[in-house]
Amino acid sequence: MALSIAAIASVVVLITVFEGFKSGLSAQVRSYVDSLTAPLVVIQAGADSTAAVRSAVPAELVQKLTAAPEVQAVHPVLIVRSIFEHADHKTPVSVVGYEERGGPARIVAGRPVAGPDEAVFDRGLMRKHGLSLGDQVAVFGRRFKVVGVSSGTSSLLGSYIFVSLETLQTIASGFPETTGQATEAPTMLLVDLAPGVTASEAQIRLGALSADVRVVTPDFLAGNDVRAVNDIMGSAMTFLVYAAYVVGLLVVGLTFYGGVLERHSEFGIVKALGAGNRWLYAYVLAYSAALTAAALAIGIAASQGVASLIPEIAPQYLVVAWDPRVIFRTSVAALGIALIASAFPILRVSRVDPAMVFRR
Amino acid sequence: MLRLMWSDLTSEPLRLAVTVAGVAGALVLVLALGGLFEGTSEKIVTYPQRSGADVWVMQEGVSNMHMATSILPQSYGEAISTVDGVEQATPILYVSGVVEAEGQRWFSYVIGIREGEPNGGPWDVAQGRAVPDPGGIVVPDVFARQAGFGLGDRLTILGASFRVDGITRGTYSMANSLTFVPFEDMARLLSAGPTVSYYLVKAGDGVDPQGLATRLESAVAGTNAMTTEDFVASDRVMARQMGADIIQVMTLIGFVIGVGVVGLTMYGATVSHAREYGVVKALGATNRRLIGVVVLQAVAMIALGFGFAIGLALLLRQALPLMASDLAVSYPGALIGRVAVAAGVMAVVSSVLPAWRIPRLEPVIVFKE
Repeated sequence: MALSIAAIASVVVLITVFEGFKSGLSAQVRSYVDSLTAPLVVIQAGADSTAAVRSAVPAELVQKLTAAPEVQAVHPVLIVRSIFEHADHKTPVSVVGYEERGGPARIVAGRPVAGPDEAVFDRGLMRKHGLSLGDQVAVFGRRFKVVGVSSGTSSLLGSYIFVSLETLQTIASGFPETTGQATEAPTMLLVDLAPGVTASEAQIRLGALSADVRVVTPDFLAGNDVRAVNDIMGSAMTFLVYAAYVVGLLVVGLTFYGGVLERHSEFGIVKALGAGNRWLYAYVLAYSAALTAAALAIGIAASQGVASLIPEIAPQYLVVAWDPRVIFRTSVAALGIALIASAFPILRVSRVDPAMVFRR
Repeated sequence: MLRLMWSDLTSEPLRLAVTVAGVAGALVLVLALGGLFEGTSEKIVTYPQRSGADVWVMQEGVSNMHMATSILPQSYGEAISTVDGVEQATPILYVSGVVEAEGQRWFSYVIGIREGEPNGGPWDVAQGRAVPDPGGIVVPDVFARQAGFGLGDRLTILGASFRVDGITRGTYSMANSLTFVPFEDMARLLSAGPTVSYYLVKAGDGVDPQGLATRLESAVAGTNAMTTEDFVASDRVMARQMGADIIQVMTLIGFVIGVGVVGLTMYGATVSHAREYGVVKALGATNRRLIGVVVLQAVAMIALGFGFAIGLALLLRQALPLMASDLAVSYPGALIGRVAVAAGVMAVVSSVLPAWRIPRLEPVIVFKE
């Protein structure tokens, strides 16, 4: 029985990990934008997310916004996508140029950026590329010193690197002496509101200042970032979750079937004593339910351990195994699988011949 | 020994079938995930492969297209065109964006191209034009099919409305469908000023692309020039590395499940066949022979499961694009080899528990009720 419970618990772990991976991806994708503490964000009109979509806000709008009575301060942020290459590894990254706001919300080692050639790297990115605090690395062909390590700034789609806004604007403008553009336009403007001004009223008034931009909340942006990722990864993730369910069904069915086989002489005795197939079916279902309930408790507990282990092996992934929605979906799936998988042993039990009791 | 192994294996056909199915399921999971990443990696490099360019010129420090940003001055086009061996230099603008139509959304590479340029545009036009007119857009056929629109209908990209001027084939994928808009329209939307993203360079007849790439880099400061072959390899490596860690994790999970499934079955079978093993032991069979039987059974189950997994994986490769047109799987030899090795190790590890039981079987069990 211990083995059976272990097998079913491993299926619970499998399903929880896959469901938790899907939830974790959403949590990671919105993590950076969720950490922006500004009540409002200004982005290019037509843009609705920061994930894989370009936004460029006219730089002259900063003065216009700053002068608005609703606004206390405006903080430009520039995000440029690139591929970070180091030690034979390549990782898609979002390089964030910031001043006072828009930088890493959580620094777990070192300090924030203080100079033009300094950078804060995501912890998972550091680990993947074998980097340490103080290392010199190339980003966009320019040397930076790693002065800080951030957490919560990584996902399947890439990691974040934080540098000073001025440095990134210079890099991103490419060739200012040729293009005539002094600096690259910011991706977004973080807006702090004056005391007593609500976000909803400021959103309407500031939005009317220019037709080239739209004013949104960080939550709106983060939600659309998740939606953008689902547009890209949705089919694949759904396929993998369903595949996990099918594998789970087979394993649980096998476990129940094995359990019935071990007891088939007992079933023969019970049948010989007059029990009908209906009684045996009820027994099998009760047996399956009891095993599944025990395995569910153990499996959910074990999945927490596995979920915390996965980021150690693959730092850019997050498995949200403690989410009540994930646990609920897994529990329902496990019980449903147990019900369906009971068909195998029920089929076997119906064929037990009471006469086999008398055989050696 | 073989006869005993076969007899035990087939004594419970349903259990054998379910065990093999469980192993096949675990291995298919690993194959499917690896195959998905391989298939997507191949789709990611479709545009550079089909662009018609021999050499790609980009901003210094950049060596990819997927999820990368490159900015070059338009004026560099003249310098590039005059390098010895260059037949044609085509500028393109490139950004990732979301295309929206009829309530549907697709993530896409958006390529800004010019009329009259020989390279960089779509290679298989199903309807309409290859290069859109001002205000027009050329989209993959899958977009049109999924959203039910056609030539002349309108859709939104980068916040602007465009008219569908062309529908193409072979330009759709989960990670990077290809959408084409007029170069000038895109420059206006991006506030790009006099810049381009990449120059697609066609080499003259008989010109070696690698030598040309080297000359281009020397002649035009601040650029990186790569042959199409190297550029494609760079994107392919990057795409594969993105999935490498998660594939490792899922392979481990698939492995554990496979070991659990076979180990559980083998242990149960060993217990239920205890009398037969007792008889065989009483007749003089050594523990080593009986352990060999158990190991062979495990190997047979895993081998059958592996065979079915390969069959299912091949079926998946045919069926998946019909069920979800944005998914494609590919199984290179290295992936199948990796799964085969995992299956082999699985067979050995899953034999441990039942093999542990064998030496503890007493021949006297034969005489017990």
